[in-house]
Amino acid sequence: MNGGHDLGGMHGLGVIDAEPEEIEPVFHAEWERRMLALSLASAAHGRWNIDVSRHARERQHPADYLRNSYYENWLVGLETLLVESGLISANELATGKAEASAAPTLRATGPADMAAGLRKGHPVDVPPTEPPAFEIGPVVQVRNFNPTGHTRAPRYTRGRQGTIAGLHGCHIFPDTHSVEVEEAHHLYSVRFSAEELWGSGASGSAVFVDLWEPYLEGL
Amino acid sequence: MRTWKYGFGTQTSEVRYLVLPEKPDGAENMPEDALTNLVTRNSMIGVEKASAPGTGGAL
Repeated sequence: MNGGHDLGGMHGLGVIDAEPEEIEPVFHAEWERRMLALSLASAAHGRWNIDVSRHARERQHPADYLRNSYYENWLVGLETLLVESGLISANELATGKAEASAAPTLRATGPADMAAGLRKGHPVDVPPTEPPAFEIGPVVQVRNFNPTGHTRAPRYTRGRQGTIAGLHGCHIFPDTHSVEVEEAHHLYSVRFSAEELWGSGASGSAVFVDLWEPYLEGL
Repeated sequence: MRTWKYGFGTQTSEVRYLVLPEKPDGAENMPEDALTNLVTRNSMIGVEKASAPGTGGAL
């Protein structure tokens, strides 16, 4: 969806005021540490995947998304996921009080489960069932589409032409995965000239964007 | 004078990229642990060069 998260090409946000690397803390407040733990422990119940959770954050009003800090957006997303998955009710979220005991099949996740799960990771590359539609070299165009669901095709690339610069193999397709349909498609690194994306005043540089095959059409 | 071609990479997929920083002048004979100190987070995402020997570098 064309939400507040898709910032490419937006003006007015000011310079990136990065904290110096040697003093940047992992967490800026204790609640951020808890937020990360809550997200991981809740995700361990397997009620949603990474693309469902990204879409839950992106569905906020763009003004809220941009005003929130990083972990505030995680909190909003997690609240949406907990209620929509039925793990908690909207009233429980509002009051902070449980209305019923948890389902007996729900198992609490602890630090030991977390460490094992994080080590295992979540690979998203899948053996291909069909050969890639494109090889390195040809010019392709990103489809002009404006889906209301999750997508990883940045707005600034849609309708633009680039060249296939690399093949990454088959990866789970986030657009359908965000609505719980697991498909895999070939993933490409596509090179766009800065002029193609930003106009004739742009420098001679290039932007490389990873794009899945359904986003692309040959010319 | 060297000319450079450069590009910006996004991480729209789960594929992650690291930049291999160029070895700075004067670092030719440094051992691995000393070289490690010259590599910074920012040099591995391509927004600055690795620290020069003797300038402190990473923590």
